[in-house]
Amino acid sequence: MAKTKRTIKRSGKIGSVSRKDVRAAVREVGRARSASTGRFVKKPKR
Amino acid sequence: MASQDYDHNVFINCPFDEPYQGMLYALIFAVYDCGFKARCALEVDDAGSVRIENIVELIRGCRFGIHDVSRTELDKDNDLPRFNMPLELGLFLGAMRFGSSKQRQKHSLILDRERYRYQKFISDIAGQDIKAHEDKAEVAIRRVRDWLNSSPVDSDVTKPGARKMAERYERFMSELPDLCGKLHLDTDELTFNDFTTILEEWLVYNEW
Repeated sequence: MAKTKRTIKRSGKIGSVSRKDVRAAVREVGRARSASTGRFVKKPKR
Repeated sequence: MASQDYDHNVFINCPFDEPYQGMLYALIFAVYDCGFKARCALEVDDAGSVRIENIVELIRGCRFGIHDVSRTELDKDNDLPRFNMPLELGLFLGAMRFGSSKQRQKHSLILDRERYRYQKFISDIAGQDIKAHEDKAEVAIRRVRDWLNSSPVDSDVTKPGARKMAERYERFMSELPDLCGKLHLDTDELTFNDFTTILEEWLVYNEW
């Protein structure tokens, strides 16, 4: 059986979504909020 | 169990029904935002174990306990009161009274809708720290914040004000649907563990 890409980081926690996924989602939503409210948004590297 | 965990664990003893969910989320948020960790019977999903044993173990592992007795009232269907919260409060107070020296260091915060309502159904708890939350999340946050701020743990760290904390809670709750969407979760199906995992990461990204 092929390995699933995602791993369970904490037994019994949040199904198949890892901590890393949660962290990424938090960052993404936070950035979107900052952009919409005009607060500081980190510039992309050139 | 590490002593540091014990000193920062807060046992949440409250109703788990849907109408109470907003209040439960507010209590959990305030606990985490003060730098503590919320523990609750909902985190244990083991049908094979005896529920009261899980609760006893949780109480053993928590120096702090928040007990909301506001829903101690007659059930509309059977005219009987719901006594789980007072029962678990009794267990917690028993550990404080008869436990080891470590257990005797416990602190409890008892919440109700109105400050003196408890006198009508559980008057023996007079003398404990009993506060009213008025069924309002922001008031509950203030009660938890002020209580943990005056605790002997992390006493050299002043917790941010309750109003700011309530604002942060509002912001977190406004972002929660988007967060759940990205994680393929439904907000109305979030488990206690889902909620605390998301909250822990949100607090890392949204420091004071």
